[in-house]
Amino acid sequence: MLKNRRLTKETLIWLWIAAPIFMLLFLFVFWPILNVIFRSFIGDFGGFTLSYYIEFFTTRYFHKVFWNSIFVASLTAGITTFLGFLMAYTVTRTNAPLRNFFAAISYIPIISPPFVIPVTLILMFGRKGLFTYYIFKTGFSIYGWYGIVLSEIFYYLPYAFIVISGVLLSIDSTLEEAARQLGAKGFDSFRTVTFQLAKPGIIGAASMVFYLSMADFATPMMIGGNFHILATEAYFQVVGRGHTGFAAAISVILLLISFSAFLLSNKALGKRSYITVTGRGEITSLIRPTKPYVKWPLFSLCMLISIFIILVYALVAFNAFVKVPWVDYSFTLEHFTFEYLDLLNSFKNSLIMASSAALASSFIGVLTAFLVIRKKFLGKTFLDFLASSLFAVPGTVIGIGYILAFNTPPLVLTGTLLILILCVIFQKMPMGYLAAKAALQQIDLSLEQASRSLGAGIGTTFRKITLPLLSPAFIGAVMYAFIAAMCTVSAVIFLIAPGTQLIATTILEETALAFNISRGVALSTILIGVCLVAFLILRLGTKIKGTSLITV
Amino acid sequence: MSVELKNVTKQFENIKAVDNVSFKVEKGEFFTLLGPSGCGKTTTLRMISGFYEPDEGEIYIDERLVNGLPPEQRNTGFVFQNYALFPHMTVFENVAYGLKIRKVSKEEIKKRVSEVLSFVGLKGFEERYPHQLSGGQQQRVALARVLIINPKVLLLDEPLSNLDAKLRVYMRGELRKIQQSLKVTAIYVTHDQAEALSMSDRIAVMNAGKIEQIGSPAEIYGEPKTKFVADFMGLVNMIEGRIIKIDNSSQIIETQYGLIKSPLKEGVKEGDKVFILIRPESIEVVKSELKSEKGQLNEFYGEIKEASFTGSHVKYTIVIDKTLTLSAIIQDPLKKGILKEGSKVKLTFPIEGIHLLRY
Repeated sequence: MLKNRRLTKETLIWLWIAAPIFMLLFLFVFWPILNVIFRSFIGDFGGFTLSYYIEFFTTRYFHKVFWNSIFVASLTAGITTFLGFLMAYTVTRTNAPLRNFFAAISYIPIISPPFVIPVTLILMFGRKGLFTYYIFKTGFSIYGWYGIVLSEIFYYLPYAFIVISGVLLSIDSTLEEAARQLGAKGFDSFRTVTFQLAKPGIIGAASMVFYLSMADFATPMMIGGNFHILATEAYFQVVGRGHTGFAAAISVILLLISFSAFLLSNKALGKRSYITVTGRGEITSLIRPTKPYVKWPLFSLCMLISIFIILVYALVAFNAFVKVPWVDYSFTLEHFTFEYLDLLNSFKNSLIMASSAALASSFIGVLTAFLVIRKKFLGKTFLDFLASSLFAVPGTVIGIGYILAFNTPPLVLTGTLLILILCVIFQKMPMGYLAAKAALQQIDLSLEQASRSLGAGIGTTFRKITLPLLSPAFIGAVMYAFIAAMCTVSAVIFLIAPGTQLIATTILEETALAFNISRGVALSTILIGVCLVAFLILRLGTKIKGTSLITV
Repeated sequence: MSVELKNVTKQFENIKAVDNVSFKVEKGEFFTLLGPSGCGKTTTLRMISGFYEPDEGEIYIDERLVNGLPPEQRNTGFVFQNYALFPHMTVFENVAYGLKIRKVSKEEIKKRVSEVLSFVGLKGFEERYPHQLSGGQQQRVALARVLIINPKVLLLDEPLSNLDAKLRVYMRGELRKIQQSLKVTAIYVTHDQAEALSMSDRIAVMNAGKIEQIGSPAEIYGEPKTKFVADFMGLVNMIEGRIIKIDNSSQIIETQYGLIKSPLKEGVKEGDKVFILIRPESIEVVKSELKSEKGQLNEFYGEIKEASFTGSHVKYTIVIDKTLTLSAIIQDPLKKGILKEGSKVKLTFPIEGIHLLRY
């Protein structure tokens, strides 16, 4: 009896702490999305209508846009997952050299602005590209679906790589040995055991890349040319024509597709739990001597990908300082001077926005993870679902939702820096949430129980035990969220106003709309620099505070 | 089929996991590699199965050199410590795996799976998944899965270590019975000396990558050749001494605590320093007041520090002269009565319970 009463009391306390998170999520995620959904059914002069959807599904052009999106996302997901699997397999299962190097290089695109790869592709294969114009004088240019797919492959490769290598690492190596020992040759054991057990990870990664690609805005804007997809089309409908209702309908369609892919990915990755084995075995390394005809092709592939990624950044940095790419190589700083763009102000805005959004989103993310993993309260599973599903909400949908939700009283926020901050907080919250969740799952519950049994209360235990153990995850989340916030464009591009320009949106406008590659390149270089500094601080921070703690 | 290792060495980074190991396991023999964790026993087993290649030395299975042969061509059956059952396959599919890979016909597979499952007592479990089975059942599936391919050699890597205590003792007998009825050669790896003693035809005790002693369970327990073996087999009563007299059936050893007479040991001479090992279960303990002078031959006086009763026996920890601690195990204590902690006692060491180790 007594114990029960105490439990209920505690449950209530946690619900009180969880309630504001629910409210914030409702106000700044749910409410805008609801606005988008409502708006898609309301005519420009009021009243219920299905006309936007009817127009969308009966117009040839929009049909094409719809299938363009599906096509690009599927192709990207397919190729990226395939490459991600090969890379993950190489790194976790073979004895190919330079495995750690490949893993490290593949992460770079995650922590850098998304424009860098399209910009480089344009430099090499654009209308005035090195290969397409100066060397081969072809009429070909990379603008179009191939440019989008090629850029997104590299941009999303780290996601696929992380998810799949996580699954591959969790497959007990003795299973493969058992297969070998029962007579299966190398490939048979791969086909019947490794691949079968990795399948959920592969499906999970593929659907994740699919929804990330569906939601991507910056890449198709920069390198899509006349090839339009749902996310860019919604933008042009709002910004170019003021067709907010129609854009809302496009957003709803986009959201439905992304969300279905998210559900699929969630389900596939959730199924993994049955891999865990009974009892403990001797830990044997997963790395095996690999047949040369398997090892060297895989090695070459990873090498090629790594070289390409390094080349991308080298080209960007190089071209930022030359007069005209591929024509006049003389050193110049002229691309860095743009008084008329009010660059300093954009930078200041970006820094303020990114640092406050990163701190707030990581704080909310970590707190949510703590509640979800450690505490019992009503709506816990729902909160978990909400927090992770934010990852799959396309920025375009959020952006349009914010315009609709916060343009009228009671909460008028449009045109302020605050709306940008709020928008990015909730867009980037899954980063902190997922990082903290992973960290918490590794911290043995018995540590907290030990503290409680030694006489510390809930609060003291949280402060003295849980928080210190979580701090590496928190620092990591802050830095990644900061980098992501510095580089984000998809939602904020709808919300920037003359006084609240951001550096990332400026780059996008300069390259995608004004076609000034050199300026884009120069600004990207600055942004890469900022991201690099943030990343180094992160590494330093976790080294000092973290490493010994994580292994507890 | 026989298995032979000749001067096998395996190095990981800077550690010699297996260091110049040689032994021969005869056909149909139950051979155990016994030792603490990290002694190289599992590495040795993995080299026999082909998961690791030795850096030096040769491995023969059935008189045939198998170095460089992949695991699937060695025809051994490996039972893993964690069973390594395929989690995405049913019991039937797990057991059928080896036959399917060998492209055996469907009817044949069905027949043989059913046979081997009844043999291990798992008929009716075909459609279950591994996670729906108990530890003991998983263990049997793992066994069935290797037995079905008729391996020449059964390699068992601590297969009982994940079972609870009672089941573990039961499965010792079961495993031994299965091995005997199939007359298959078995190499068994364990760190549990009771397991090794109760199941094996011969035991090789390993330490730090080397074999310390090979012999029958009785030899290993009764006549350990090294201090390590004695220690590892639970022979904790060890006293340092010096041989002062040798006659044709025994020798007298002088220790700090009194004189000990032991059965004759070859290769020692008067004046040699030796370790005297006294098996705890051979010591007789009777209540007696401490005498002022040293006792008779093979008699020490001491005080009971601790008495721990386990049902079938009682184990006394006895302190002699404040510096020597001996263990004595007395069978059937309910009949003989349990002495209280603090009791003054006389210990007698029958000569047949004593074994000498060279210093």
